[in-house]
Formats: sequence, C-alpha cells, structure tokens
Amino acid sequence: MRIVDRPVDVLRSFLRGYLLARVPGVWMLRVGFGIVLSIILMAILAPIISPYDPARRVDEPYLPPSWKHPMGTNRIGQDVYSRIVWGSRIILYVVFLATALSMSIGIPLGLISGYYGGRIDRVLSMVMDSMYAFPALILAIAIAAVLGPSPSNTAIAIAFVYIPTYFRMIRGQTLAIKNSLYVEAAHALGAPDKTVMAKYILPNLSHTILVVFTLSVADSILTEAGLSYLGLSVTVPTPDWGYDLRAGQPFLLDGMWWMVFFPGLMVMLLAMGFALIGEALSERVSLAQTR
Amino acid sequence: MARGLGYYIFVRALMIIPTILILYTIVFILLRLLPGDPILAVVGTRNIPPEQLENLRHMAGLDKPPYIQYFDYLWRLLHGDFGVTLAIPMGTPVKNYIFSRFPATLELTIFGFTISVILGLLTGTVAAVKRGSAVDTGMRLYSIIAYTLFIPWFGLLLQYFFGLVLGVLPTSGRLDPDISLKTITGLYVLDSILTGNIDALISSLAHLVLPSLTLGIVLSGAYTRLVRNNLVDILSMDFIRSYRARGIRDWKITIYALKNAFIPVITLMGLQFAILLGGAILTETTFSWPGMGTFIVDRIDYRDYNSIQGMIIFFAFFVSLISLVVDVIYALLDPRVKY
Amino acid sequence: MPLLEIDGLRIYYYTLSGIVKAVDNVSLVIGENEWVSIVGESGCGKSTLAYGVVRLVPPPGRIVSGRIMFRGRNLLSMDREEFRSILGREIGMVFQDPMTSLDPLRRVGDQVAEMFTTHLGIDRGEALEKAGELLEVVGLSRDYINYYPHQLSGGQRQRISIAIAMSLKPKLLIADEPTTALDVIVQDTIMDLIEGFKREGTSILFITHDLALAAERSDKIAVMYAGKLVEFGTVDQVVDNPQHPYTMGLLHSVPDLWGPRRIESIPGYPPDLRDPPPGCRFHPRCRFRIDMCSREEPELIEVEEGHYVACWLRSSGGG
Repeated sequence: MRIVDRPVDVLRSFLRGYLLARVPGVWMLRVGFGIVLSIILMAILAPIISPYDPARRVDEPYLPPSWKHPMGTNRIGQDVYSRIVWGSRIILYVVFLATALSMSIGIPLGLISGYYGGRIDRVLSMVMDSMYAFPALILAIAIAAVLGPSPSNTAIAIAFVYIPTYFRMIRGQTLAIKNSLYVEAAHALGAPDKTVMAKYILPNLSHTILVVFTLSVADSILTEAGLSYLGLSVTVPTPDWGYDLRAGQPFLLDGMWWMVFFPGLMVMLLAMGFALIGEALSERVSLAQTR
Repeated sequence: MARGLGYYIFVRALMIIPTILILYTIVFILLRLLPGDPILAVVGTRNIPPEQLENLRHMAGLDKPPYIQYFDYLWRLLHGDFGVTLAIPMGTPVKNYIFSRFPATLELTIFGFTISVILGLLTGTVAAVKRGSAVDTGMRLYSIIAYTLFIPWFGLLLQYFFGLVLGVLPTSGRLDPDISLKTITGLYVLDSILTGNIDALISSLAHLVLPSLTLGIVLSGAYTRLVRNNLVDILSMDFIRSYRARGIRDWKITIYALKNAFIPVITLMGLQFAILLGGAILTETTFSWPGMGTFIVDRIDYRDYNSIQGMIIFFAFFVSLISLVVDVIYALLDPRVKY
Repeated sequence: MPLLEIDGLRIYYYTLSGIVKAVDNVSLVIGENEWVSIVGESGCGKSTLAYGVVRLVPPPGRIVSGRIMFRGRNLLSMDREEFRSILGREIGMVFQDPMTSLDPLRRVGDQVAEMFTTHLGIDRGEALEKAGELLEVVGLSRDYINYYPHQLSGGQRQRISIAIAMSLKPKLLIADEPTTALDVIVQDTIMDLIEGFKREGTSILFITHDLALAAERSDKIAVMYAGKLVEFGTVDQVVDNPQHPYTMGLLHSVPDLWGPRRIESIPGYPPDLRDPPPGCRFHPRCRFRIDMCSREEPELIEVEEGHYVACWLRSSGGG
C-alpha cells in the first residue's frame, strides 16, 4: 500500500474504483457527474447551442415557451433559453475562480496553523472561527457591495467567505495526522517542514479536500446566485441566472412563470449536481476511514 | 461543575467580545481599505460642491485618519450608536432602522427555524430508523434537494402555486393593509395575541406561512442529514443494544437514542442560525418582507455603506448571542460538559 | 428439563462480499444453576451465539435456523412483545465494554430503576429506592444513583451493568467478555460478583477468549472454532483430558506457573468464514490431521459421559 497518494492517483482511483464500480450509492455520483458535466458542456458550447444573441431583443417580450423560444422571452424580448445557456458561463466562472482563491489561501493557512500550532494557530483559528460563525451571505453582500458589481468582484467576495471552510478542515486533519508514524519518519530523515507539509501531509488530505471542495462549490453556487439575485454580481445586459430570476420576478404573479422558473431551476440543478457528488464521496470517505 | 452555571454563562458571554471585535475589524478593514470612495459612491458622478462632500465625509466619520475612525466607531458602538444613514433619507440613525426592522426578521427566523428543526428531526429520524431502505434513500435525496433549493426560486414557486393558482395565501408583506395592529414588541403574532386582535393574528400567521416554509424547508436539509447520521451512529452503539437486552420498550429506546443524537444537532443550530439569517435576506426580498434583509438590499442600491456596516455589526452581535444561548443549552443537556 | 437448550443454531452475516457463517449448527445445553463458558478466539462466533440467544444479532446478521428453548419455550418463535418481557426479567445480559454500555445522558439510578418500572410496573420513587439497595449489593454506595456514567471508572460501570442485568434476579445471565476491558484486579472482583449471583441460583453463560479464566469458575466449558462447537464437557474433562487438537492448542498457549512448559501458539490463522475449508475446519492448522479431516466434517460425539468432541481422531474410525 502506498502511504502517500498523489492527487492524480486519487482522481484515477476515484474514477476507476468508484464512478465505474458497482457499489451502493454510486448512482448519486453518476447523476451528479452527469448534471455537472452537461452544464459545463453547455457553457463551452454556448455559441453553438444558443439560437439567439442573449443580450439583444430578438422577438416580442413576454412570449410563453414555444418551439421558437423553448423557454419563452423576457420583458425586453430576449430569448430566455439563450440567456440560460450563456448564463452558465458567468456562474461557473465566478464559482471556480472563487473556489480556487479560497483554496489557495485557506489550505496553506490551515496547514501552517495545524502543523506549527502555538500562538499563530490560536490567532488564525480565532479569526477563522469568527468568520465561520458569521452568515456567509451577509459578509459576501458587504464585500460585494463595496467592490461594486462585476463577476470578478463577486468571486473575490465569495472566495473570502469560504476561506474558513478550507482552513478549519485542513487544520483539523493536519492536527490528526501530524503525529502519525510516516510523518515522524519524514522528520527523522531530515525533511524540512515545508517538504513534510507539501509532500507528506497535504497529499493525504486529498480525499477530504475533494469532499469539501464539492460541497463548498455547491454552496458557492447558491451564494453567487443569491448575490446576483440581489443585484451584486453583473450589470445589464450580461446574462446571469440569479439576476434574470430577479428581473422576471415582477411578472410571476401575472402568470408569466418562465422567466423565473428556468433560471432558478438551473441554479438548483448545478448546486445539486455538486451536492450529489459530495454526498456520495463523503459517504465513501467515511466508510474508508471506519474500515 | 465546581463554579456553577452562572459562572459558565458569564465566562462564555465574555468570549463574545473578541468574536465581535474580530468581525468588526474585518468589516472595518474591508469597507475602508477596499478600492472605491464610499462618498462618491453615494452621490454618484454628479457634480457636487466640495463643501457638501466635506460635510458628507464628516457625517460618515471619514474625515479622520483610519485608526482614529476605527476607535471612534468602536466607542460609539459601545454606546449603542450605529452611525447615521448616508443616503436618502440622509442622517437618520441606523439604530432606528434596526429597531423597526429587526422584529420582522426575528419573527421570520423564529418560524423558519422552528419549521426547519421539526422537519429535520422528523425526516432524519425516519431515515435512520429505516436505514438502508427506499425510505432512507428518499430522505437523503430530500436532504440534498432541500439544501440546494435556491431560496428565491423556491419562494416564488410557492407564491405562484399558493398565491396565484390556488389563491389561498398572501405572497408579500406581514399584514393585510386594512388591518390595524397596535405594535408592542414588533413581533406581529405576539402583538396580536397580546392585544387580543384575532383578525391580525390570522392575517399575520397567513403572511408568515410561505416565507417561513421557504426558509424552513431549505434549512431543514442540513438537519435531516445530521440527525440521520447521528441517529444511525447512536442506534448502533452499545448502550442502545444494552437497553434492548434489558427488555426496555422500543419507543422508549428511540427517545433515548434521539436525545443522544440531538446533542450534536444543538451544536449545529448555532451555525444553522447564521445561515438562516443569510437565507432570511433572500427570503425577505422574495416576499417583500420589511425586515433587516430588505433594508440592507435597499441600502446597497444607494451604496449607503454606513448603514451596511451598522447592520453587519448588529448581525455579528446577534449571531454571537445565539451561539451563547446554544452553548448554554448544550451544557444544560449534556452532563459530560463541565461548567 | 434444562434451563437453556440451543439446538442446531445457525447465524449468518449477509455481507456484500459473501455469507459469513458465524455460528454454524451449534447445539448446547445449560442446566439450572450451571456456569457454562464458551471459549474461542475472536471471530469464532462465540459472541454472535450470545447475541443470538437474546435475538440481538446486529445486521447484516440473521438467525437462519435452529431452536433456542428456554424453560421449555422457543425464544426464536416468540413475538417481539413476549420476548421483550423475558429479556431483562428472566435473561440478563452484560456486555464487554462498560464504558459504552450505559446511556451517557441519564443518571445511573434512573437506568437501574427503569428495570423495576418497566418490568414490575412500580413507581419511580420506589424503584429508585430499590436501585439504591441494588447498588449496595454490587459493592457500590447508594449515593451512586445520582452519578452520571462518565463520573465512574470502568470497574464501577461494569458493576452497574451487572446490577442492572441482575436487578430482577433472572434465571440466566449472559456475560460477553465482561472483564476483558478491565484491569486484572478489577477483573477478579467482577468475577467474584458474578459467582455470587450464581450461588444464589442463576445460571451463567460466560463468553471469553481466556481458557484459564473460564477454567477457574465454570462448571462446563464449550470450545468453539470457526463457527463450530468442537468440544464440550465439564471443566475437569476439558482441561485435564482435552480431546480436540484445538483445545489442546489453547491449553498450551496458557502459561503454567508451576510447570516448565513453554507457551506454544497454534500455527496459522482461523479461516475466512465466508469460505471455510472443507471437512473439519481446523484441519489446515492441525498437527494430527488425517485424510478424512479434509474430506468430511466430523460430528460431535460423546467420548465419555457428558464429554463431547468433534474430531475424526476420536470417532470410531480414527482411534
């Protein structure tokens, strides 16, 4: 058995040993993957699969779904389906940028805090715990409001509020394994702290990181949609699910459901895709740990 | 155990102070040091006489160096002064808005919270007891779907169905406009009970149904998952098996197991409450609920960052208070916690 | 009529990787006021057998077939409610780990008193009174009724578990390695306690991996190997005149203070119960194996009065 897994190995074993394996609960993973991959594909193929320019008036406003406009048109006369397709780009961009940012700050800080302990750990933990206890959406609202509406700014706001999630998880796991035999063996061989952290501790956290990653992406998707619903993410006429939902809200109770229904459905599907993957993985990881 | 509960609460209450200080510092740094001039943000690109700009800066306390601003604002906070609004209506104490808006948010969160806990306990218990069955899978799916529901979308679907299609429930506001209610606490349900106003009670409850269901169902997903996983763990524990071997009745064993499974759930409640407040902002906007959330969103449109800062500090205080209460409940329920 | 008669009991675990035959066609008799110990390595099915008697085999385990007659009634065919009223009242059980077998959130007194309120229907005050008396019987002070489990040591907790199991003076006490988690001195006092109840008329079904411990106080010993009963008899018969090679092996792995004997362990490992070896399950590890052993399964036969063994060497053909 290898003691240290490389991330590549984790991914490979995960794909081979799980996605294709016949184990209970694998359907969750497959459905989740299916949803996420289709939406990513949708974003990539947006120019090909969208029939209209998402930012232009292309027909009469308020048209219900039809063959010509499968999801109807909105109050300006834009094609809702085309906006949904292009909108996937914004939310994916924001969420992945945000996740990359919070991981690249939260994970090293968590490693350092858990590994060295002492005063630096106490200070960092206290700051992170305070942030963690605070409503993420409200903090993100404040930051986004100051930065002004743009997808990159939204990503920064979201990144900020998910740093503690990664920090806490990495710190806890580092504490748990830093005294294990193979880490001590690495010390005994004279490996410097940086090497121990990067080569011996971090790779062993990859399963946990994968779980936290999927679950926090699911969460960030809802946060992004929330921020843009409140008008804090994009400016008109950029297509964006959360914003489009808000724009369609005033017409809902006149019976025009399509402007609200489709964007919101997409938000939920995307979040659900990641949540399903995360749920299936966490079950798998906790099973592996109890064995 | 030695010093008693009072001492425990006191010490735990002291721990709120650093939490709030840290959050205050973070918010302060973010709001002052991030690019963008808040005053210019308020007035926009219009040409404004310099003296009026200076006046605005003074009102916002922005005419002093940052470190003085930091302690200045902190000092005023200690006296319950959250600053004044910077945008229309200009110069109103933020405190006034907190007083008028907070009860609405509190009422919504109390109902939403209760619904989420009850739903979570029910679904989680059913899933754990029927572990491995189709019911269990169903409940796990429920948990995921509920968790990933986008609040505005779900709220609007409920509005569409119950407000438009069935036409049985109000979709916005807290009270029918033609009903008058004397407010005492600002919690309309409580006020109508206190004043014996049946019409207002029915109306305020009817207005609460959809928003609190939206919030409650979305937030219940996390409880379902936690209750299920805890209960599954507990049910496989030795002491449950011991209970069975002693011939204790099944329903009693379930209650003992639930009590044990509930302990970690209490810890989650503090965090959940914070998420609930975030969700409340979206819920309020979706249902035009006149609470803190709609106020913040309003202020964002004006870029009135003084109000935003005040509100966030208030939220920080409120969240800390909730986590204190949760900790005390935890200590009371679990004899293993020493205080 | 014997107190407990286990007849042809089979308990299988239906795991994803195969069916584990943890208890495979085991028959055993326990008389009135008799102490029977079941001895075997971990994983031999001895604990599963004990759980089977109280119908608490954890999933994915299931009782597949067999009868368990207790005072003339089949425990396995009773409905849940009838069986529940017997559990605790006529059959008491003590588990291995005292640290986890009490409810951490309830006072000790309440957990003891619950036996009286549940099975005798008396009110709580009276039940607590009786609980206090009972704690004194097991050597604890009456004040312990107000303690929570986490405030007690392992030995104290095990006393309480025994107090609860014995609260209604059951005819049978099943003890699943009740001393394994405790240190040696505490072990002894717990054994004394159990022996005291035996003197008052209770039969004991004692599960242990420790043959020496079993030999000390039992009337009879049953040796299990890989889900099978391989030898059964009085302590004298089994210890002084072991007939099964596995029992001999177990005896050799016990240090003898007065003899020059070396400790010898049995070579090899117990088999995988999903796919046990054909014939006698012990044959791959047996020094005396003959052709027959790997071909056909030996039956339990009586070699002297009350002394049973399942080994081809002792069967008519073997010699």
